[in-house]
Amino acid sequence: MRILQAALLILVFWMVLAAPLGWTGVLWGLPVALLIGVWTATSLWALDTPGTGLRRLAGLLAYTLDLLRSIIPAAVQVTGLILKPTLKLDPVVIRHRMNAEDELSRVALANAITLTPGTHCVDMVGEELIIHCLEPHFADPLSDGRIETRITRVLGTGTDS
Amino acid sequence: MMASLQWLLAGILILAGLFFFMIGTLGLLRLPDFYTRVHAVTKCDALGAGLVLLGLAVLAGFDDDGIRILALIGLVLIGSPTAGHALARAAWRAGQMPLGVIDEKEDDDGHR
Repeated sequence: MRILQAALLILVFWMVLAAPLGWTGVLWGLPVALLIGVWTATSLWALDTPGTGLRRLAGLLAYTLDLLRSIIPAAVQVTGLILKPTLKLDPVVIRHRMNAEDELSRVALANAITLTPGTHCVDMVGEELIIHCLEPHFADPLSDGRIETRITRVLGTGTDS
Repeated sequence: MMASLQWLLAGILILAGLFFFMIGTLGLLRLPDFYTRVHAVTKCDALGAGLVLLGLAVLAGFDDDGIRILALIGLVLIGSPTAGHALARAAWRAGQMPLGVIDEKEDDDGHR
């Protein structure tokens, strides 16, 4: 089941990228997608299976828009920092304890942090993310855990609702 | 009218994307150490390429090309931070120390 799910997702993505292939595309794509699907389901998703239902996808869209709302002001601030004639930075490395239990949510959180200007994930040690911030205040949005809650709601695999 | 609006919006998006590429490059040249430079490069990819692609998608309209470009944006948004993690993590584990303050509490996990 998981293998089929993965294979279907890969096939659809490939068809979107290489659309005008028609039926020959499906004929060639299906076996390859199945092969990659086996690999994905056994190693990449070995621990958690991401949901692919419609509600999850809608949640993903809402989460993406939410992420954009935090990216844009941060981008403006970083732009200001870089353009300032006197480059004065106060970089810090902080540790952030994750509440998210499952792997997928953690990956999504790390990616969200890196995508947001001013913060960049460096490493993950146990339950903690090591985050490099250009200035201490860039870490503020992290501490209230809003992004994390949203991620676990959209991507979490069941155990926590 | 519709077409010129499309061009205007696409032009604004693409110019904004190019602006972020410029900021990223400037950051790469000006910022003081490895980690701060990785910041600049990663954001330049995500925002710059994302906005340029979005502009192209507006230009292509809502047909198969447009959808394909949107899928590419998704790919860039996942791929670019992943490459950034790989760089930063490799440097961190190799013992490259960042400038500034490091939160030292319970740093006994093997980091040199």
